[in-house]
Amino acid sequence: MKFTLIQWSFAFIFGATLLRLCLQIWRSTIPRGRGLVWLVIWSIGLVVVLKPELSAQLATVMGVTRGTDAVVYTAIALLSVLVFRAFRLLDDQDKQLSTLTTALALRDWEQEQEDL
Amino acid sequence: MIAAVIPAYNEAAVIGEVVRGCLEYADTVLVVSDCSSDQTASVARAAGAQVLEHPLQRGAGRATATGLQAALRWGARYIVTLDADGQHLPDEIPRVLEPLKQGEADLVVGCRSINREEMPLIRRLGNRFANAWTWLFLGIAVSDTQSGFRGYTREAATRLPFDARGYEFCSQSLWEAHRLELRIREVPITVVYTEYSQSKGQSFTTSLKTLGRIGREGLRG
Repeated sequence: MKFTLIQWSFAFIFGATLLRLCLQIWRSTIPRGRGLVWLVIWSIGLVVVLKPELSAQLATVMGVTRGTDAVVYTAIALLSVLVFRAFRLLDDQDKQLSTLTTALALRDWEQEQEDL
Repeated sequence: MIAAVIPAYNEAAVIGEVVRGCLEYADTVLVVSDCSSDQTASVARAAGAQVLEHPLQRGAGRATATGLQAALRWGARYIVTLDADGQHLPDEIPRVLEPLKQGEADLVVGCRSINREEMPLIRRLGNRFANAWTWLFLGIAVSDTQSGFRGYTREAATRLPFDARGYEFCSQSLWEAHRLELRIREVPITVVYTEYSQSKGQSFTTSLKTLGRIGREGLRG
């Protein structure tokens, strides 16, 4: 089996990411459940890179003509989910910052009242 | 006990006059400096206001929320909110508070209708568009949804969840009041359009963001 340059490149990136992910799970620096989900996603990516014919089968299941299309559509769907999650996370953090700002302002104001 | 809440960002030039005007009609004036980089806080203090300072800039909506919470802790029975740029006349505070005192409303919106013809055309159009937008997404028909000159009873201020950051809090609080079945009343007010107050209004970009947030709130349900 002869790999192309692009396969080598992607295999290296996906492999390195998987290795890093395994270390993070091992060291418990990310929640185990989330780590396993990412492990599955990156593993699927690695398998598709090493066995491109699998993407053709995926294309048949998805009802598109080419394996490349199936990979691109899946990637877009995945990215959309990630962007949505990132926005939600930002929104949550923004609200927490606002709550904290109000709490600090009120605390200082009450302290000022007491001092008077 | 009446508290006037004034959210302010870099308003050192006019805040003193606004505070002094409000003190004639309110028992206390609470100025919330939204991380101002000028002398807003010290000028407001010198004029007789109690000042709360946001360590981070969080927007007019959040500054108003902080001021309302402070007013509730202070023990206010009626709370009036005004813009810090001098466009609202403190002399009209009694008019805004009257329906609250008469028990006819829980939330009073000061509608910029007395000298509407003096409002710059672009603002008038923008205001109408914001009203229509609010009606479309939030289902509330008020003739001036973006007015910051408002009166709240203690109960209304306690029940309303103020979690919007920017100017969308004007529409959002109306929507929440509608949802909580609070009685909303409109009273006509005068607005002073000076070069200064016009320079402090919502920019086009901020307006778009505000409309986007109103739309998002509406879609969120």
